[in-house]
Amino acid sequence: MTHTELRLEIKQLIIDSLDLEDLSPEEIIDDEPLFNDGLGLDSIDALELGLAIKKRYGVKIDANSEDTKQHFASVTSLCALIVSHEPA
Amino acid sequence: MNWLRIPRLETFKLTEHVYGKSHMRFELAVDDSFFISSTQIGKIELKDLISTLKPIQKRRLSNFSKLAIGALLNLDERLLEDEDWELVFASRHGDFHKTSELLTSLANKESLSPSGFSLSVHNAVAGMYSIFMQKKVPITSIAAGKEGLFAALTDAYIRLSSKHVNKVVVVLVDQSLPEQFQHYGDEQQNDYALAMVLSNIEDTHTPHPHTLSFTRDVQFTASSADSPAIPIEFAKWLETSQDQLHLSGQKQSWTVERLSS
Repeated sequence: MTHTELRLEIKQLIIDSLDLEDLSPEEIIDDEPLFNDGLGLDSIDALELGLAIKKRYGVKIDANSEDTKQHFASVTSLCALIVSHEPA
Repeated sequence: MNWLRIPRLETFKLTEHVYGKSHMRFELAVDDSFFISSTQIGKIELKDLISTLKPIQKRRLSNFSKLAIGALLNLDERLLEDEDWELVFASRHGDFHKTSELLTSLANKESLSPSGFSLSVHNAVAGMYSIFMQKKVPITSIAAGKEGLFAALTDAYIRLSSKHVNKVVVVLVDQSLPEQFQHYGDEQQNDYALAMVLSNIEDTHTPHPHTLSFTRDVQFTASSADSPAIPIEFAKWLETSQDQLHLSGQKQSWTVERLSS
């Protein structure tokens, strides 16, 4: 899967798991913040999205790790996290 | 307030209206009501009932929450302007569709949805309504089987009699049981919500479209398994010109009567 395809898939996952049916994947910008200012997601969304990513990609996200904030910053950073866990 | 505590309050608070020892009676004014049930859902879109909410507020609302909050939002807000009011929320099963999804996840040893879990408590909808409206009002959440209407009205009557508030908003909401629980159904299965603004009949500040008395019958007559839910029967009767309505639940029978104005 190319990174472009993966990003689109992540956007669709965000829409499906967080009940954002009113949004289309195109409206979620790759590098814009997902939380607070950008898409306006909250802490419960973070937990829900973490669970969806674990289910889909088998990537376990440590809720207490400082890195997690970085990984959840944007679609681009989530994509990088998932790619780094793919078997080489 | 816990429903189990109400019978004790009855003896202290409601004696002024007691005829016989086992005869409970109280009077209430219904200043406004909004009722929606399965027969209108489809004709009235749930999303139209909550159109005044922001997209971010609507996002996590289940059909159950939309019914409850939708009914509340369609009450005449002018009645509550500059008034002290409190809220009574009553539901037999709560958001049972959400609960049963969570139970299914547990049974399959899957992780629980955090947002589903966060909204799984009985008073979650009432809490969300309070947040959306920015109203820090005392809220009672009641689950009293088929008798939810009587429990809610008793609570409303006690609150109004305490003279702390002029109005009590009551909302009753339930949904048809989820597929796998349908065979436990002991009444007609419908989705509905009934919201009302109640006040003391002696309060002359506002006109009262309905003034009613509620009397608990000494004799209990059991309801049948195909009777509609009590709040549905009550809401439909309210729109008629009939003087009297008999209602029976699992343990109690009540008579509702219109008071001559």
